[in-house]
Parts: sequence; C-alpha cells; structure tokens
Amino acid sequence: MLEIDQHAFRGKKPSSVRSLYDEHGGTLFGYIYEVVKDQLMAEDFLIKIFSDVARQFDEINWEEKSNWWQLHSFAKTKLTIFTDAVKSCQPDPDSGLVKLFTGNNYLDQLSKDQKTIFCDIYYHRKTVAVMAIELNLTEDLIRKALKEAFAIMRKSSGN
Amino acid sequence: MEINDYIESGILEEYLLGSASEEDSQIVLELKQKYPEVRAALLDIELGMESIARSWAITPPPEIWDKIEADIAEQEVKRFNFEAVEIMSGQKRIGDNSKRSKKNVFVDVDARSSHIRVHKLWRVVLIGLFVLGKIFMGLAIFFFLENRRVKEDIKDLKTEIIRLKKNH
Repeated sequence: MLEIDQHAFRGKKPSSVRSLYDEHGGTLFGYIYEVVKDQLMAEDFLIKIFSDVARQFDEINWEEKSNWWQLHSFAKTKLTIFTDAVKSCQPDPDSGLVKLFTGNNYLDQLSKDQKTIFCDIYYHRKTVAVMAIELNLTEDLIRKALKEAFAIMRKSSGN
Repeated sequence: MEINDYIESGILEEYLLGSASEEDSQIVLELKQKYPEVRAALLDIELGMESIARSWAITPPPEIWDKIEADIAEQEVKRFNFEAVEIMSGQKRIGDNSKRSKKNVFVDVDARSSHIRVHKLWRVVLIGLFVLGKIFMGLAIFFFLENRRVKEDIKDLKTEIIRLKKNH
C-alpha cells in the first residue's frame, strides 16, 4: 500500500471556488457528461453545481473526503434525476465529445459484470443492494466485484 | 471481522462512491478514526480513483467560469430579495431569534416610498443630539455676549489709562 502524507492530501479546504474549479472543473465536467450524455446539459449542471458549492462553501465538510470526492458526492446528489433515468453506461453515438466508454483503456479491462457494477454505482448512484437484486448476486459479491474493478483500473493506470 | 477482511470486503470503495448506507458510512468513519490501516486504505483508494477520474476529464468551454460567476451573483441577488421580501411581509423582524446572524439583518427600505424605517435607538440618539445642540448654542451665545462685554471693558480701561497718562 502506498505510504502517503495524509495531511498533504486530506483536510484541505480549497482557497476559493475558482481554485476548486481550476483543479477539478474538467474532471467534474467529464463525469457529468457521462451521466447526462448531452454537452449543453452537462455545462448547465456544471454551472449549477459550482454555484451551489459556492453557496455552501463554508458548510461543506472538506476534511471528510478529498476535494474531488466531495465534488463527486455533491454532483451525484444533483444528478439524481439522471441517475435514475439513465440505465446504461453506453455512450451517446451522436455526441461530438470524447467517448469514455468506447476504447477506454481502463474500463475495457473489466469483465462485463465488473463494468456494469462500477458504472452503475459510480455514475448512476445505484446501491450495492439494488445491484445485488438486479444481477441476482449477493451484496458481498457485488462489493468484491467493485473492489476488483477499482484494483484492475488502478493497475491499468499504473498507480 | 478482522480489519484486513473489512478492508478487502469492498465496503471502502462503496463508501467512497457514496453508495453505502448511512449506517455503513458511519462505521467506516468510526473505523477510519480507530484504525490507521483503514485510513491509509481509504486514502489509497481515493488517490487512485481520483487519478483515473482525471484521465476522463473533459476541458469545459472557456466561457463556463464566467457563467458560474454570473450564476453565483444571480443567486446572491435572489437570496437578498427573498430575505428582503420576508422582512417586508412581516415574517421576520429585526431582532428576532432566527438563525440569521446579525450582520445579515436588513433595514427595510422601499425605493418607491419617501419614508424609511430605522431602529428605535435612533430616536434616543436624535433627541440627545437635539438637546446637546441647544446646550452648545446657549453656551455659544453666552460666551459671545461675555466676550463682547469683556472687550468693551478692556476698551474702557484703555481709554481710562490713556486719559490718566495725559493728566500726568
């Protein structure tokens, strides 16, 4: 396991919304786009999410998770209507944006079940319990598959 | 369950993705405080997945930040107007026990009206200023007259001195 200076990574409240945007705006935009599958809608959500973050900047517990994961949780809540409506992680063939799920080095390493579990939990806010029912597997197996998916992607990325 | 089994169960990944139940999340947070291994594992997963998420980033159009700033400003104006309407409609009054901090208390001003409502304290302050003004005006008149009388006395004395010098 990596030996990391935890204080250098965690518990750092961003100095401003702008710095947060500069650091994570692109990552969040990529995430939102994969959920809504529409560039203009993704832009609108990005604007709304950062506007809401600005309003709740002092109330957010920045120490609980890293800034990116805080933003991710925030975005997931905001995107609930899409996470409920969109059922697959397949790309929109008409979109002009980069396709994350076609030819993606990381996701291509996963088995069909691992990919489904990872995508549905990461992008579509499904719970392990729901996935267990949908895939007719135990919750423990779903968690195991999720962990394996993480591990495989991390191995592919070299970290 | 051994702590290593717990780490290997996949619950940390579930927690990180925000899909864990309230109860499971609470347990993760407690174990994170208690076991350095859990803290390190969680951090390790966070860093690893953040790195992968970055590789999926899409650069937003350059005008997005301006739109975010405009939206923040618009939200602020809406909030300001909403609170002002609340005060005007009598739902919230200055000095009530609401959660709003004192620095956010608004003075009720209607731009169409020629009147404003201010804190009652100002009545006492204005009366005090009025009374002080009267006192200072009385003192000014008193010292003015006194000064004029003294000047006349000095003038008389000088005249008397000159007259006495001439007689000698």
